[in-house]
Amino acid sequence: MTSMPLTTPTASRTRWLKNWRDVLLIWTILLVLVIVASLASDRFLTPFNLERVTAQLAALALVAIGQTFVLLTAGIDLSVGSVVSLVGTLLVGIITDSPESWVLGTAVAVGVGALVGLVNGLAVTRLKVSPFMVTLATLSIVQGIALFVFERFKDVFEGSISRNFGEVFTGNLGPIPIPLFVIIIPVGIAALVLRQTPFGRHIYALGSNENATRLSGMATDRVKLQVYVISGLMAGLAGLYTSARTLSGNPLIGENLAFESITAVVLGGVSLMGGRGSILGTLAGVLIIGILSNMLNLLRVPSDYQYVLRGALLVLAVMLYARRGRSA
Amino acid sequence: MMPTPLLSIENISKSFPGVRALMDVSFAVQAGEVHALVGENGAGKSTLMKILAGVYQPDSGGLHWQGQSIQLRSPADSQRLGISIIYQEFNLLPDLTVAENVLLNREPRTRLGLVDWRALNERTRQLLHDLETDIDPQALVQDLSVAQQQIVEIVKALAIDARLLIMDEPTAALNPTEVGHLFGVIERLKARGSAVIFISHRLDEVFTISDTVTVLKDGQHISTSPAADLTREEVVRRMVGRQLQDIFPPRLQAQGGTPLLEVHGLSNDRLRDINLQLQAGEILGLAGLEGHGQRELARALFGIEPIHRGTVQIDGQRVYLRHPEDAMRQGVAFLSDDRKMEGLALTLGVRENVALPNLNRFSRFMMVQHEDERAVCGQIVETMAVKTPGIEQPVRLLSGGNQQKTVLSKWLISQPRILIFVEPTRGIDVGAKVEIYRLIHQLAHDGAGVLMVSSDLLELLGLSSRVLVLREGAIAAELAGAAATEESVMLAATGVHG
Repeated sequence: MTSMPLTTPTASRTRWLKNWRDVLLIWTILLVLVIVASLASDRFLTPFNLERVTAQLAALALVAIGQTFVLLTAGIDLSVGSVVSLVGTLLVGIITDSPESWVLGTAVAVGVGALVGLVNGLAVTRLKVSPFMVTLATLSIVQGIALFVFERFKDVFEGSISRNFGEVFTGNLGPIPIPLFVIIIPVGIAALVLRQTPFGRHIYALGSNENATRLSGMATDRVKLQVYVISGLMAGLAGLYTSARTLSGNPLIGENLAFESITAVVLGGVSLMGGRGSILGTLAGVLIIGILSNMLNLLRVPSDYQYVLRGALLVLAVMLYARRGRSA
Repeated sequence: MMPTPLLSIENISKSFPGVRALMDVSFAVQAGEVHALVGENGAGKSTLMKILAGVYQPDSGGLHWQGQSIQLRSPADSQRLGISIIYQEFNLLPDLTVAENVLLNREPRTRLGLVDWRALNERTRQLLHDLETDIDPQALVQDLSVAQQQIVEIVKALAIDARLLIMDEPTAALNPTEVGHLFGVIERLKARGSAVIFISHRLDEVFTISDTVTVLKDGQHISTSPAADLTREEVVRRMVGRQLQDIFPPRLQAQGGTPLLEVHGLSNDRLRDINLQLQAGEILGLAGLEGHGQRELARALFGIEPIHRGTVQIDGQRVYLRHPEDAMRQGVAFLSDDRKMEGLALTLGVRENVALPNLNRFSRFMMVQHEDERAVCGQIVETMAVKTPGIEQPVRLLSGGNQQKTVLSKWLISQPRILIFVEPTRGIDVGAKVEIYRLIHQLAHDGAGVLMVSSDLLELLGLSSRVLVLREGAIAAELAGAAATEESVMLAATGVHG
């Protein structure tokens, strides 16, 4: 039997395009949005405004990165928002002006996040409960703990966080605002992990066909456990960042983050069925959400309209992806 | 003069990016005939079927139904005409009962407009009875075997009184008795004036049931002739375009030494006290009627199904197989009978699938080295003669035989010493089958041990050095050499003493 030529240059180039079609699509939408925003308001493209948008978006970006890992395996993590809330509430009692307390605070943020992720991962892999139900339960439990801590230990966990600590995350490094690094560095690491490491490949394979991946000798449960820990960890870091930015602990501050992060990730082209999508897409999704709401705020559009618009955008994006899926 | 055909296919062409699936194909199907459609993988059978199903629209050419020009823009159009298709991958709803599946969207109603459950179950029971099967209409589809699900698919098509029934590999999962029942039903359909397009790789069956045989090759129509004018050899010659002298390579003998694999007293829910030895260089066949534990034994030895009692030794060392990872580490590879569910990540490309169990091999400093990966994957894909436009092609776009070769490729990179094959040629055409046979033979010849489960007795006997026959989860007989015949295997499998 004759075999066809393996890879011709044109074939690999079209493949490259195919791979990036979803990413190109969403970045094109983002570009259009940026143009519309700068036309609609002359305050949009000012350094002050862009810095503010970046600072507001960093927490969502961190959570969305973790959410991307989970969604790629066809899972979901609803508990991320309450992790952010709990971490923020705890840090008020921990962080003072001393650098030792900053280290302790960071450890607590990472530890709490990873622990919640571990619980999620263990429940999903050992008890075989669906990720939706598991993380719905932990969402509620962790939220409860955050409120409990806030109410019962008011004297310890009240007041505000050291302004010096806040500066670490909100200041500037040379001419560049630090929140930009808070977004770029994790995005870079996550993209590297997903694209270049065996672990990343296992995540895509697991999301595409769990059975086949298991029968290829992958420890699929371990991979699942790891993605929930990563998601929890990223939520913990988002909590740390949020505390530094707001300098306070609000036990409800993360309330919308689970749904916002899922919106961003799906906007960015990650399939809820798993196995498809990328971190670059997620980054675009996060930026679209942030820039859209920033633009609408600049135009003084009331928030109720904003919710409706965001929902409409999500439906539109999902429709575009669905068509792409059929044509591919 | 011929009567107006029920369906005539005229100059149909269809291309996909990179593939010309059909080129100017024309032939006609008469009412009341069984029309076999044969060809190798990628010959265009599936594409043609999807055009008749209204899933694809042809690029050029047309269809005539009883002399009238028709256009099938959707599956609904096709169903309205009375074209019913049974795909190789079932379209059943596993959480519903057999009856609910069979009469889906056509549920009989009571006078109040509610579902008439009694009539629903009764009508389904009648249809199942016509097929002489004892499937319970109220059983859940997920609890049925593959063979039983196949029958439910057929019954579903029968329920809409199809004028033209298209069956894609309908017998792939059936045992001889069930095949007999199926052929009985096809005869009855024929007598009623319906036409059947029968797509199969099993030429014996093609000759048993068909009136007319159409051969496709590489998207082109080769011939349409009465089955009576053809021989098996002639059909094969037309399909592959070359003479096919010997399908099976010479039989291998064990190379001796410490057995690669030794199993003592293995038991679980489905298996009882299994003892076996596999030597280097031999192909050990596992035979038996469907559902008697061959599949479960193969899966247990790859750590997929639990082992409750008994021991497994590899190279004389006791091993514990709790997870496929454990088995892989011992140099065991496993080819599932369900390529789409268990063999491949369909949305990913050839390279990603082939690389999956081998990622550590391509990785340095925890990073996948893409150059190495592409080189090794490209090489194996070429060695295995996988027909694909490139190693980045999504595997779902490959034909069955090429998908199977992709699965095989992904295992062969790590040079496993024990290979477990479950139905290695299911849904694969003659040409690709022979290639797979050669590969299995070569692997054993080079010193691997092969354990093979197949419901195709001809294939099992043709390849195996020894055959173990399972009955009710236990080994009923070990047959080797001249003692291994279709008859002796069937006797041991059914427990009837001749």
